[in-house]
Amino acid sequence: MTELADDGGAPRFANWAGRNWALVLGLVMVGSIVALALLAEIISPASPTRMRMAQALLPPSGAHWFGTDNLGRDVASRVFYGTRISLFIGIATVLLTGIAGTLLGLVAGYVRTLDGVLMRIMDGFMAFPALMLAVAITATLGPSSINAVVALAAVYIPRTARVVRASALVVSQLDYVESARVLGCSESRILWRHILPNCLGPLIVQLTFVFAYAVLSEAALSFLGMGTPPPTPTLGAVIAEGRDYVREAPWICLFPGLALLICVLGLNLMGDGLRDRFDPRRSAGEP
Amino acid sequence: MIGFITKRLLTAVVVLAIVSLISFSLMQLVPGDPAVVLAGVGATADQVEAIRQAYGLDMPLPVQIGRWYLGLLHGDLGRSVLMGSPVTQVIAERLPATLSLTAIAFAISLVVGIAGGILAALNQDRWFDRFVLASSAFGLSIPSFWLAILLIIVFSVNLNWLPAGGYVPLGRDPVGWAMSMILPAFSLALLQIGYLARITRTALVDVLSQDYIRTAVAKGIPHWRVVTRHAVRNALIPVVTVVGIIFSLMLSGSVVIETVFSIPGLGRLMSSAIMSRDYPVIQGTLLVTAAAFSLINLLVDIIYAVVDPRVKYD
Repeated sequence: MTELADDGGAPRFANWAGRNWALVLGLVMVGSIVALALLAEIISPASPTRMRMAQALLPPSGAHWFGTDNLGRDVASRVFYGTRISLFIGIATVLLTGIAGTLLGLVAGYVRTLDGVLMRIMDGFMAFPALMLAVAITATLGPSSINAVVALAAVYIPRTARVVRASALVVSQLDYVESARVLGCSESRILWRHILPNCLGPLIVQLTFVFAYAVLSEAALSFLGMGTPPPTPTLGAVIAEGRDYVREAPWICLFPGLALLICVLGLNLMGDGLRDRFDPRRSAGEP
Repeated sequence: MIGFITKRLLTAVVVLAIVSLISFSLMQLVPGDPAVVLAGVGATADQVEAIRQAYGLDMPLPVQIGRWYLGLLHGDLGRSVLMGSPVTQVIAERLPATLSLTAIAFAISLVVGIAGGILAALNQDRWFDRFVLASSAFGLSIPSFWLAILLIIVFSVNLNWLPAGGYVPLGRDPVGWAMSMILPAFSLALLQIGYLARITRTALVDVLSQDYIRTAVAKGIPHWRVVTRHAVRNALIPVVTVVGIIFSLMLSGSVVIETVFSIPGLGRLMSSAIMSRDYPVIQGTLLVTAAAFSLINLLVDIIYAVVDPRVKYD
């Protein structure tokens, strides 16, 4: 039976994804970064934090695939471990943004009396340039992984709430919601069982893009020294450290940036692919 | 029309009031005693007390909020802890560099992004369209500070064509100004190019499938004329509405780009104020950029309503 189920499932996924090259390519790119992060202990040639001054600024070789930095640390290991922080902060931001954004968006879209107040507050948060607000919040709370997540959530919750509100507004006008009410469903049952499931498509698309922007913004925060503090290696911090050595050791900056590019591009492609499936009328997501 | 503009103005005032309240609240997020943080490491108890009184931190919260709003109405954003001068003056000094950078980056993104989007839409589903879509995906995904460093490695370190950083005021040396702006402006523009190309392409593909385009073609109007006179004009309307977002994205990017290229603008002011815990400067910069963004959006909406009478306030 298991075999039968597997055989039935595989071609259906192939059909579903086959015409959607953006989704497949995105999944492969993100999957490879996730694999690097999960297997960091096994595949890293050395410890990401061990300094060996005798081996400083070595170019890429068999022993050090991505070369070494100014303190003789292995850049490949630092990149592999760095993807963990990027993915962790990305996922945590997506979870926090998804939960809070959905709640706020549903309430604003369904409880008309609260809509004005909630959306004006969201507008207030969205008026700040995204990275400036995130930098200001992390700087105030102090640089750490958790504070970076809080700051990024403050940036992306209003944008996500707006997407959910827009779908909730449309869905709550549909006939079947009225039917549910006539049948005697409670307001909370209508909200959770009838309106929320029909807002999920645009929400999933939005959260995929939030994941991409969160990884990118976390790298910018770390680059400015406002992310996860050392000695934990983060992609943004490795690039910042390599900045002073672009003349003699450009590989320090090159490889962490490539890892970031693959991860963010993969997430963006996944978002494009999912949008074609779930939300074909929306054009481009706001970066 | 008048009704729309009045309502839109009122909303802008409300949002500005919320924006300033958020900026004010930042100080309340400081863990521990803000006066101790502001006074800096190694300050004596007397110095902390002097800071507490100078910044009104000894007063009850509602009074502090009242003083903050009263100051704003007088154009007073407080004083920089580090430099001692008024925050408004510090920001005004940094404005020319950021304006130069964003103006050039804006021009690059408009020209390249819109042209790319139009050409992509006219070659829908052919290789050029795929090329534009793929490059816009790259533009939206490349970390701008990393791209900036790569450009420095190629054009400054190896080819030695352009300066690796620094800012030359336009009034002093126009050629030097332009040279110092090329790399930062391009690094800053790439994200917006990708965004604009996508929006323009989607809008133009949409317009080209409309009935009035078929009518125009059927009347025998030459193809290029249908595109320039009938299609592109209408396709640019959604592009106009994202001008505010583009501006906001560039200010975000300026924080890292100005840091990489050592350009003394608002973004670098922000990142250096953060390093020195200069909260009045952080609050002021946040507030000024958010207010500018709200103002641009207000203007865009009003112009939009004037141009397109179908727009109603929801």
